[in-house]
Amino acid sequence: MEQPQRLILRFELHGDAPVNLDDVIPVFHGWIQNGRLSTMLIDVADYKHVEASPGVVLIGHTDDCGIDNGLPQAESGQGFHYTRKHARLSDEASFLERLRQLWTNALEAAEALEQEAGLGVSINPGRLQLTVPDRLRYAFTEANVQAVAALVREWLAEVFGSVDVSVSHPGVDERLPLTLTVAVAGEHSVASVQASGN
Amino acid sequence: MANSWKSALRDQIPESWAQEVDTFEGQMGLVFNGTLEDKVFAETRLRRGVYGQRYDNGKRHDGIREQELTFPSGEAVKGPDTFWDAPGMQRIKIPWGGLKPDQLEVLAALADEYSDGILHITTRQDFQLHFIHVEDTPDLMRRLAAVGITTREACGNSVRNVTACPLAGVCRTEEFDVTPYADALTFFLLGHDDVQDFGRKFKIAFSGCEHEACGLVSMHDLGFIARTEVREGRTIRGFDMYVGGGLGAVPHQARLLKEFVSEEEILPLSQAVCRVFARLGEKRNRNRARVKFLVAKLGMEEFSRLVFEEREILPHDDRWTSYLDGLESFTEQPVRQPIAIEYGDSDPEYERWSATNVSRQRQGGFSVVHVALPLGDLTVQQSLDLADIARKYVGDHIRTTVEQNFVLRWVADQDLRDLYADLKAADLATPWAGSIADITACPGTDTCKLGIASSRGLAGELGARLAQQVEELPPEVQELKIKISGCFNSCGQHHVADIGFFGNSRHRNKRTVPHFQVVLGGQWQENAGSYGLAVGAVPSRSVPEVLTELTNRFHTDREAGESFQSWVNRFGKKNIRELLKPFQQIPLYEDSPQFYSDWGDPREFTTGDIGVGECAGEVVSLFILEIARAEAEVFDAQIAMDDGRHGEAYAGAVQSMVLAARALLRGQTVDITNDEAEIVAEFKSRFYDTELFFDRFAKGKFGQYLFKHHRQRVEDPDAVSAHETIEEAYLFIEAAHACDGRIAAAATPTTGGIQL
Repeated sequence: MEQPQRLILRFELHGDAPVNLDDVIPVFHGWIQNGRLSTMLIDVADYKHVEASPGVVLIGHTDDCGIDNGLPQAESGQGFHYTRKHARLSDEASFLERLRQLWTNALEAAEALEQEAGLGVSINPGRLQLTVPDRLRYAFTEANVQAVAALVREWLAEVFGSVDVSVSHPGVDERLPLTLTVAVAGEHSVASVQASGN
Repeated sequence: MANSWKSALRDQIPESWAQEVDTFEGQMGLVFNGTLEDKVFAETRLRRGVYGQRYDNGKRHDGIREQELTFPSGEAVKGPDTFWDAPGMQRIKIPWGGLKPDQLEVLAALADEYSDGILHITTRQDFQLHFIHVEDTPDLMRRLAAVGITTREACGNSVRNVTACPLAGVCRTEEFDVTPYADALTFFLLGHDDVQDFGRKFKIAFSGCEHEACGLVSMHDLGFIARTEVREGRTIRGFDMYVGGGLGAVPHQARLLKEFVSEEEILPLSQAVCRVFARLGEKRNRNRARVKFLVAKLGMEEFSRLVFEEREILPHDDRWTSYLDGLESFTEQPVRQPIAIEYGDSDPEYERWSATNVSRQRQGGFSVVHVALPLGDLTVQQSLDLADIARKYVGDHIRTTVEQNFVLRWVADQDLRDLYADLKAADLATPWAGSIADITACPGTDTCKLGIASSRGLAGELGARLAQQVEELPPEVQELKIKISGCFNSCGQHHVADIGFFGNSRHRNKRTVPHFQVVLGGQWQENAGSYGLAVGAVPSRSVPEVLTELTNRFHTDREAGESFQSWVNRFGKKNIRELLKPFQQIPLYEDSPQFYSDWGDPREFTTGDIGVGECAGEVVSLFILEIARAEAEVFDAQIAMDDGRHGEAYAGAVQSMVLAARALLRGQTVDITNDEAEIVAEFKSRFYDTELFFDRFAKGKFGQYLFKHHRQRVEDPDAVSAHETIEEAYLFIEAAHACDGRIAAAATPTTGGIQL
């Protein structure tokens, strides 16, 4: 398969209490000060004033992450999103290898976020959304959905073992980036996934 | 399947535009391998809208220390002191703000794939995408070109986006629709040989009426106000042409070049203006390079003579008039025809939105809907939703506005409630468009390399507070306009707001404190008919209280029907200064550390290693004592200006610069008399020649103000020269504050402090 230029993971947050995005801003600035993540961090972008936006984003050279203020659908809660900008990397990694690297980096940031006690963030790695914002190579078509879904199942089998993985999508719309919604059976936490070594 | 956008879009891009992008991509390769000089490439990419962004020099102060950003491409640069890999900004020109749904969809895709998922509308009807990598820009340009958008000359020393009233064609007070004329001039000058050798940018605007805000012609390098005349029983179209306006550090009002220039003549006469500007405009000193300085230097009479002389020798170009055959193609057709309809019960939310976000068109049965965007931002999904909404109700008739919003035109009145419901579902039905709660702000310290204070942070804070209370505010306060710039360069257009702010800083207690200069009494109407004047700087954290105080006082003190601008003049700047005084105090860091950081940015401006309760924090330096005299002097100059005593105003403004220079010398315990010549000489040798006084970006510009007036006083100064000198004096004093801050920071034995 072609290599996508960018991949985004979005995890649902556990619990009903919303994260105060004002509190996230100093946390991200602190991460820059302390070099908290293994990727190069640059700045913090604040979009919390826009409804259903990326919220507060920690901008890096190869990776961005942040807590949003919900998806456009009214029933959606906040999420933790992680973007890997492969166009900024010159590696020849395959799509599957890129998914693995995305997962590793996203979990590193997720763990760091959960350790910020003041935020009270709890991330559910078993409820996620994968977006492939690459309309040239991965237009949101049924064929591409099937191809990427197969890859996602292979990848998540490595992570979670032989548990049921449900992969769906919100409806094909070629104006949107290809997006898959994934639900992994059972209860999962960042710590449990990290502990499993995957 | 195509494996590149270049091949995928080959048949959809005009050949010349495709060639331009290919060339740009080729130049990127040349600069990356060192064949093309970086400063040449910098201007090249700027002329394609590829702009630098904050921290692209590889340095970022994280609130504790300055961190090096070590980009993977190593020492490779895309311009002087600008690293190749550093994220940048892409500006996208939208001529006269006209946008179609398919274009909006592509912009959304670009934000998704190359930026951070947010589209931003600027104060010149452009779009900006941030955190873009330079290597993504050729594909980005190709995808725009495929839907008829070019980024050519969006930045750099070129003709910037030609703006126009967003109501053009549907406005109830316009002479006629200026859209086709703005479009014709846009594409006539785009890439024209005569606009390639400017010393600085050149901004153009079109207005359909004289007395509304409309296209804000007075603040433009070149402006057009529509006029009609009846000759031999036939209505003839033309424009009053203005030249030499501009905001920036020292704002100038445009002056009339010629009344009623016929529609056949506006293109050639514009070309003549451009030729004169290219030939005689300043090239070396970019701080004096806008056409306003050329007009001021030559005088309007001589400038006009040169322009009309140039016009006479221009070789004929068929394009001057050929566009007139296509005027009718700009006539807009509604998607749905109006029908009479009886509505049921009223929805209070709809009514509230409708009262501020809907205006009647000239064409009966149709309305314009104003879509208010917080800080000019919207998401990818909102963009797609808006494209759908436009298709459903208005077709292609979307426009961006200089107040960082959208308007949807040709909404059939019976559709307003359904449209509102659709906008609401897309989180795009924010009420109070155009009100005090709808604040304009430039990017400021969020992304701009020149930003001093957080204009977006302040706008966000004020906007959130005002949204909670705007409904209860008195009508005369609801109608006020707030505009905020992150520095003196006026990208937030603070000069033309009722209440404007621009970012600066003050050094106190061994720390730097973010401040905003308060600018009051600008005029939005009458095409930005007059500019406000600075009345004092307040700490950033005090601005909300200052706003409350100002608006309360305006409400209680206002006479019937009195505008804010009139009230400012009647109440007097002296009284306003007294009103601001309590808010200008800076508490000790130990008492209120938040004063030492900016809105939305928790990084401390300084983190000096000062012990708790250290008495040094209360010591007032000689500089502080002396600079207060300069500030008092320039304030008195303003009072004289208001009273029409232009000579006194001018003299006071110059004297305030001398005093500010003296304050710097006294701050360094230089033994100095009050003799102006001695002060200027000492200032020059100690602060100017050493570049201590230099602003990081404006360099020695502000020092030149003092030297200019010291060398030769303006004889018999009029209102314009007095006003400009007062503006210069304020900037000189601000520069003195900044200089003192830099000296103090350098002397502080810590690694703290924001570098300005």
